[in-house]
Amino acid sequence: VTAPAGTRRASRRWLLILSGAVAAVGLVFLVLGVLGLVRAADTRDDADTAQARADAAASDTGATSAEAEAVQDSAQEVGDLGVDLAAQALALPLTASAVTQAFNTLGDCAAAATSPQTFQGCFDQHAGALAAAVEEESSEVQRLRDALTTAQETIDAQHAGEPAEDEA
Amino acid sequence: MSDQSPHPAPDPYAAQQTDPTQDPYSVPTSPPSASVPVLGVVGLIGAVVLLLIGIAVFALGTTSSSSATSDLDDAQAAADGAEADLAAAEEQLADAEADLAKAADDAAVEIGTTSDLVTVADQLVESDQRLLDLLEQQRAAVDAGDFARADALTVQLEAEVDASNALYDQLFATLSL
Repeated sequence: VTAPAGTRRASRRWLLILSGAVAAVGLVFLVLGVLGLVRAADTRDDADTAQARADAAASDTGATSAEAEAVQDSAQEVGDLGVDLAAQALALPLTASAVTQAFNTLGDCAAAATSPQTFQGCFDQHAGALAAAVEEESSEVQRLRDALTTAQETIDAQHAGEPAEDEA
Repeated sequence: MSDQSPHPAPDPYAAQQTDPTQDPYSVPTSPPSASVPVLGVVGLIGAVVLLLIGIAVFALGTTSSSSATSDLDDAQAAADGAEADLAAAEEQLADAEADLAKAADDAAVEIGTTSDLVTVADQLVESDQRLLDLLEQQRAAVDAGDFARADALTVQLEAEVDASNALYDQLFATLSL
């Protein structure tokens, strides 16, 4: 049994309209979805770029922090060097004073001598201390000269390292 | 009573006989078959399938875009944080370099002062050594009974003491710079 021709034509028309509408909506969703995927790909590229920037910055941060610590250590070393040098320099007048004191002791004794024997006794008693004080003074000056050389070499090495760091 | 109808039975070919324009040899049009609605339904099903695919792709695109946006936000936040850390590290480096420069300047001043000190100290040690030698000579002169020479050495000793004292004062003056 077949439907009347008019009914069939109406059904066919409605099916056509419905199918077209559904297909149109489907196409809209499809286009929007594809656009979303394309935009997601672009966004993911941007995210990768940002992540690469973050990784590079983190790497640079590590290197910069290490360099800062090294420079801080160098500053501490140079600072300690200056302090040590100043401390050693302060020891020099003490030995010079010891020489002066020993000489004055001998000189006072000799000035008070009333005979050659007492004069010789002053020498026997105090000349050894004076010689020891002069020897200690000489040794102190040598130690200070060595410390000075070491400090100068350290400073020179520090200055020599700066151009290399600047070039790096 | 006759059941004869006053009208004759309808002739199925009457229309053809009465319509002079119709081709008597044309094939009669077949009635629309049931396949047309079936095709329409199949088309509708295809459209629905297309709709479903579109919705699925749309959902996939939306989800993917949302996920990528979230990843981008995270990556940008990480990059901003890392760059802030880098800026702090660079500032720390600049401070350390300033400290180093100051320490180097201070050390250079200290080295210069110490160098001057060592120069004066060398002269002082030499002067003290000469004093010691003069005293030994004076002792030898006294031992030999040569008091005139002992007195002459005393004059030299006094001069050397003055020189030594001047160097001693210079040593302290250098230290107090």
